[in-house]
Amino acid sequence: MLNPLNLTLAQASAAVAAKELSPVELVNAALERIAAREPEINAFVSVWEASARRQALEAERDIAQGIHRGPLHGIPVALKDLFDVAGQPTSASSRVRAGHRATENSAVTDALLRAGMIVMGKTHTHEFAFGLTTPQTRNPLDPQRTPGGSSGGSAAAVAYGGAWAAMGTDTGGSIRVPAALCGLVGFKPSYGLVSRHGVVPLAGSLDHAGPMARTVEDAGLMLQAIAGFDARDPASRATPASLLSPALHAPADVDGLRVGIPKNYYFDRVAEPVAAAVRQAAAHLRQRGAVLVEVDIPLADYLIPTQWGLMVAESASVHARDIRRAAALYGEDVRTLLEAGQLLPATDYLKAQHARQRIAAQWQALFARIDIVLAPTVPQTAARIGQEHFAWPDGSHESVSDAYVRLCAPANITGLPALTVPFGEDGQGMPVGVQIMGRALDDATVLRAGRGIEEGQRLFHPCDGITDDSAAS
Amino acid sequence: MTENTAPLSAENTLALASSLGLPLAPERAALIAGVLHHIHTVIAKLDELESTPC
Repeated sequence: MLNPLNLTLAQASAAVAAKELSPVELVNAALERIAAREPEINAFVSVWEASARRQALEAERDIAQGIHRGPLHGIPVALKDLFDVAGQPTSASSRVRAGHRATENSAVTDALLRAGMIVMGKTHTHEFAFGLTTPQTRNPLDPQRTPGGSSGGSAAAVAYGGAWAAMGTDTGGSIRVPAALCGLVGFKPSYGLVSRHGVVPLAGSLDHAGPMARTVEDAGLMLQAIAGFDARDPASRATPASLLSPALHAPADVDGLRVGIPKNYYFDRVAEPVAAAVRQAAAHLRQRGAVLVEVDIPLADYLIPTQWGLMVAESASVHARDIRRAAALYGEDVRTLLEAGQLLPATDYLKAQHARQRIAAQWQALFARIDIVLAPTVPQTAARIGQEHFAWPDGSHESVSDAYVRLCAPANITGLPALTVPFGEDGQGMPVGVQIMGRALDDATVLRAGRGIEEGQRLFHPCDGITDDSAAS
Repeated sequence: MTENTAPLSAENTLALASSLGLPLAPERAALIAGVLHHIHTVIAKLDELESTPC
């Protein structure tokens, strides 16, 4: 008998399509995991048991009658509590949103429901997605450590088996950081590829929505369902044909792929097990025919100043009314950033906009001679709960949040697609994330490279008692 | 050239906040002045780019 928790989303999907497994069994398994782990982990804001069971029965009935909507039909998913679901509150994990109730679905919610997914509930975010730790949630791999953020609840839920995939958002690493810290795949697609309509914003020119799952194939299946032009999102772009092709899920061919290995920035102040994992991932790709090319990251000294200039100013604008109306309802860290942001000169924002144009142009030039950049996702694995700083061998200290945003921010500034894939562990058994960035709207190549890295790796199995018999293939 | 400005005083921070309609609690003024100074100083690194031709 199949243990659903041993299966990736794609494997569960195949079993459902073959009528070897029922969506009811998937939901039952997820609910058992939620009951077992939630008291300690607190991934979910709300679990929708009754509606999930009802959706599972409907999916089971439809599939039995030959109505199969595709690979996501009958698969449990979790939504970061920034995505609107009609009739439900969207809390953003904040007291500021008390009493809110969405009047319509987000574009992503609609897309996932159209695909037949079963929504298990809403997951915690660092308040308003403005932070990298999600302090109310624990890492299922080691509950004394952070799951990362801001999509920490989504990562934790998938990591412990409460869903086969989840949706996150990413303004400065908020999909990739928690995915990396929890041993998952997380994908921030090209800017505009996934509609943000009905998603609580943080900083519009940096905000992305994207999937989190256990394998690259699973993330690709999710992306195919949620990508698409939506006139309600001013940044929306049409889906490139390469993303719609079934070839997206074919065994990865990386022969001749030109892989940029940064000489600067991405390996500065990076823990040795993390750097070693990236080197091993590069060697793995080279063995499969990829060509490694050393590259200089352009304008590296200006990446974080640009990220700050954009993020602080735009988030201050988003929250301009509420921070004046209800400052005391915000958590202290977010309140402080938003109050300071109200006082930031407009010239600082304009400097960041100018810098972004130059950075984006130089990254575009960089990709004339390579296909992807391979780098660490985060410079250190999961921090302990309450840890505030990392100490680096050069004697410097860096706040946990600053460290976690440092290597992710460039893809937010440029809007380029960026994927994290688990690859190896540190000395304490915590996963390391390897990051792959690509050209704008060439998300398919990023996913292909991710599969190339992933193939042959053992899946990270955070669930207690789950045996590792489902290595990615 | 990078700007090198001192943080606003608590009094000036309160005055600035008031002028922008932000009801900043007086006991938070020094904290916000410090954080604002830090953010502004980080962004001021971009002055080097502004003075460099494309």
